[in-house]
Amino acid sequence: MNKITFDKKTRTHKWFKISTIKVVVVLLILSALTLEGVNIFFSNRMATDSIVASKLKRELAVIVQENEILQAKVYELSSYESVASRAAEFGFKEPVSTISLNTPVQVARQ
Amino acid sequence: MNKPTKYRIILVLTVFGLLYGFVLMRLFFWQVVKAQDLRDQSRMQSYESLLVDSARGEILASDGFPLATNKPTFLVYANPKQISDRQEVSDALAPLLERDSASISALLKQDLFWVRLKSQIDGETRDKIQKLGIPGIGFEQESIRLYPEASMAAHMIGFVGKTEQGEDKGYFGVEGYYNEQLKGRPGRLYVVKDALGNPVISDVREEKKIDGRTLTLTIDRAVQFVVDRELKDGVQRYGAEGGSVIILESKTGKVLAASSVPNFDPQQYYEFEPNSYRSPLFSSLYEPGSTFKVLVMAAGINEKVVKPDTRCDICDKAVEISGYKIKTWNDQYYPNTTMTEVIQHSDNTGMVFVARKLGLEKFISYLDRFGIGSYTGIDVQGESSGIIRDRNTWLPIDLATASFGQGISITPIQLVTAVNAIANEGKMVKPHVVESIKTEKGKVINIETEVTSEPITKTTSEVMTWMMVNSVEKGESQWTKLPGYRVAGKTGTAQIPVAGHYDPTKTIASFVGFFPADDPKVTMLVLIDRPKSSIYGSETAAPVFFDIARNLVNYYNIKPNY
Repeated sequence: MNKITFDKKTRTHKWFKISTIKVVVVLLILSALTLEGVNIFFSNRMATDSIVASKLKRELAVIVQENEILQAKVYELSSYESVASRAAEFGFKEPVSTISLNTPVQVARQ
Repeated sequence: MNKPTKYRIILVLTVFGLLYGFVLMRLFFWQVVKAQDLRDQSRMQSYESLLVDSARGEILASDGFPLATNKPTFLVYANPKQISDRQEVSDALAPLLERDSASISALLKQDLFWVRLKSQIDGETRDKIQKLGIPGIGFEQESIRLYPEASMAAHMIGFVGKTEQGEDKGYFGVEGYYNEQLKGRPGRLYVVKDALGNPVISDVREEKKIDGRTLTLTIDRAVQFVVDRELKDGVQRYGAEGGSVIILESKTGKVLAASSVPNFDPQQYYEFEPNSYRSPLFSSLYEPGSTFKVLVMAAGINEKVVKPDTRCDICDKAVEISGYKIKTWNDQYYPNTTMTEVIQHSDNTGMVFVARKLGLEKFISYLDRFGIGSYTGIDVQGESSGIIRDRNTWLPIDLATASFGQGISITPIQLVTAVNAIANEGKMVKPHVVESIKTEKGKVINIETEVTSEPITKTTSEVMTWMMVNSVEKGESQWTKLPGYRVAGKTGTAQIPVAGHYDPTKTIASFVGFFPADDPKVTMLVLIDRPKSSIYGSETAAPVFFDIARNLVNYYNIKPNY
């Protein structure tokens, strides 16, 4: 059986080892507690965020839907068929003849 | 070990063995035989599967305006168990749902948790119903196909109907031809449920939906609008039963406009006769009459059997073949007429002269080269090809009549594609309606111009163009021509075969041409079906052609030639 020697250097070393373990344990406990705290903090925060996000998502869906409805209405109102019939209601008429100018026309001067 | 003990041990081991075997059998039964059923049951208990519809792709005109898009609509449903005063609710909903109060009341009387009151109501109606604040009334979003330009280019676009399984499906036109690309792929949403069936986690999407692809057409909305209007006016003016116009961009074969009357509204296709869904431009065969002469003359010039100044030595009277007399359309004859004048006067006897010079072999060969009897490959559903009879069945009279477009059936798209080869330096290009396809990831696939063949040389095309310009300038349609512009064209008055003979009073009047002749921009075919005011193409189809041309030279800012 080996005999344990307690010279100064060894004792110092042992003390150092013991204190290091204590520090590590304490640090680990503190880390665990901190992480748990952070976890609880963010979980709570995210839990409320998700409610907000869901609400925003619902609002977005409604806006997208309204936008699609308006877009369809714009298409219907701006179609050539629709514009032509509205123009006719306002008394606009198609040109009956076209004049082509083959040579430049002298601009009238005041 | 004595005997009884030994038997007892054997008995116990046997019983345990049997039990063990039974357990193994049950395990095999549940884990192997019934594995799939259990898996399905487990999935049903723990998941709810929801189908997520994909959005059908849009169809856009060349300016980006949608010719077919999707419009959100709503389904109104009720939970009868939550409705206290049935009669009051029915009376309130009846005017908004455009249903009678009694039928709504009957629906609400049912012992159900969900009844459908009406589908496809618009957003305004939904808002009005919501304002009533009736408990037990709810909405589900739906989508319908919207065609903002109504019947514009309806034959080119087609419509969306339902399959026997109730799924949306495109029919006819581009909707039918590109259905697989337009429809996309629906997705599936799996929602996790707890033991009581309540959803635990939402939005667990396992199969993503793929929206349909967007198609941009070559159709120019402004040109299409003008064509629709002029054709409608023309059909009405000449008391015709119908008519069609198609315009190709000469160099690329892009379909700029295509219109047919009678038409249909793709939004309410079910209110029209199914016969009206097919476009006569691609699906109907007809005898082209004199418009066909330009192809036969082009073949003759290309084969160098005739020249523009070649004189016809059989054109002084009606030509007799196998007991039949081939006359000119007005019974006027021009002895020693040139080939240019043959086209100008639309002289049938002159065309018989050309056909004889060509011979049957080359004649049929040129039909094939010009794509007669073959699909043009245009990307719309429902194209017909027609058939060119077997060479051995052709008689001398068949060759003679075919030379001026009788006794031979083609589709309008075949004719305009073939004539476009004359406009395009002798090159046949494949007509197409879709300019580009935009994928769900935003990638744009452009449809390139495809030269399918070169039936005639560039020189022949130039000679033919000049002969067609002469035909417009000096021929029967000169009264309606476009002043200042050189237009290459040819009239046609095709008789309609009825019970073995031609009806003398009913014709399909037509005009095919391209302009400006020096550098063609568009190639156009106008068909007027059974006009009553005049049977001739020069008096019905030609004016419609030039009315449209007048609009197009302004629209494209084409400068006059002289």
